[in-house]
Amino acid sequence: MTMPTQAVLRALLSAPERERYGLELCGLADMPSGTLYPILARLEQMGWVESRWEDPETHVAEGRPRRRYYRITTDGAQQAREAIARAYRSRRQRVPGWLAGPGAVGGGP
Amino acid sequence: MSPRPTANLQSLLDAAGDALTGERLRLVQRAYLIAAYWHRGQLRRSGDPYVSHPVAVAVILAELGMDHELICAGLLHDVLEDTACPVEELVAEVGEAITDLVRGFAALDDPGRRPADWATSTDERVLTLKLADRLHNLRTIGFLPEAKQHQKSRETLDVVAPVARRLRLTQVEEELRRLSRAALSGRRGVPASFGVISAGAIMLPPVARGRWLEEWLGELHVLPGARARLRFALRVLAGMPRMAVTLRRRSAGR
Repeated sequence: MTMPTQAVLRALLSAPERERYGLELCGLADMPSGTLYPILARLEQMGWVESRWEDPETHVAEGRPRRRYYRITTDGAQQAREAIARAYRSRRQRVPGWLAGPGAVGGGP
Repeated sequence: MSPRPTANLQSLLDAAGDALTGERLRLVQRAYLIAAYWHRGQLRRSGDPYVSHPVAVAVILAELGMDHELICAGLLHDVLEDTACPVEELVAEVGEAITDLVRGFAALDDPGRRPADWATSTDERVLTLKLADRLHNLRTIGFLPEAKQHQKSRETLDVVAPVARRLRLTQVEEELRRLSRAALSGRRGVPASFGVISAGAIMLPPVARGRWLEEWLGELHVLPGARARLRFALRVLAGMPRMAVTLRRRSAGR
């Protein structure tokens, strides 16, 4: 798994319940939009990430087009933690505690 | 980096697919050569060679599944009005049927000559050509002066988008409305930046294109200022080839 993909997954895993916009994820994962969107499209195809359109109340009131929200799926969160842990191991580094699972103690990345 | 991939004959042939063979293929190639010859030296406001516009219109028609005659008419739609190409030559080269579509389009394009009820009285194939022309003009509307942008966008919402609805070209209707609203939003730099993204999105599979364009338009609106918008757009554009590969994998796969 590429480093940019890991960065996107880390950003999503930092608060797995939270929905994020693409722009927000660019900031969290510190990458340009041109790198982020193909990764999101791929993760969505794999079922690791799901997305939905913003509710009409907000964007209609603000007079702008709707935005798209992303969230990591339960299955995606588990697979992502395992994949990132594998990446640590392949670099012969210690796997941080937060990767142990949703019940793990400690903060996000 | 080349900021805008311009449409060329190969992108048209790709869009038309395997159905275009034999005499029909040769006719499309001939129409392309005629358009390239008569529009030689002309430029779009964007700075692109003028012929990139008729080619992009023909690509839109091919993606809508239109036949080779309408694709040829898309390639030739501006030669009678905007170049010295004689109508007899057009007839001799591509025949009466295609020339009639081009003539019908020219009549529609002139507000002085067209009947008041043109949107309902015109032949459906000519209207489809008109829709494809307007769609590409809106995708590149950021290069027009603001007053002209507003006028074209209003006309699109009031008259052109309903035509698309009547012809059941739902995706075209939705894109026309999206692009017009973006131009009318009054947020600086949205139309120009969205034009950059839309031109690049021609690489994406048509079924997926609408969703991503809408998403990027939504993000453009919340970015602060014209510079941030353009930066976002150029980066989305830089990622477009990768995006196309990713989305194609899906269309081909499941």
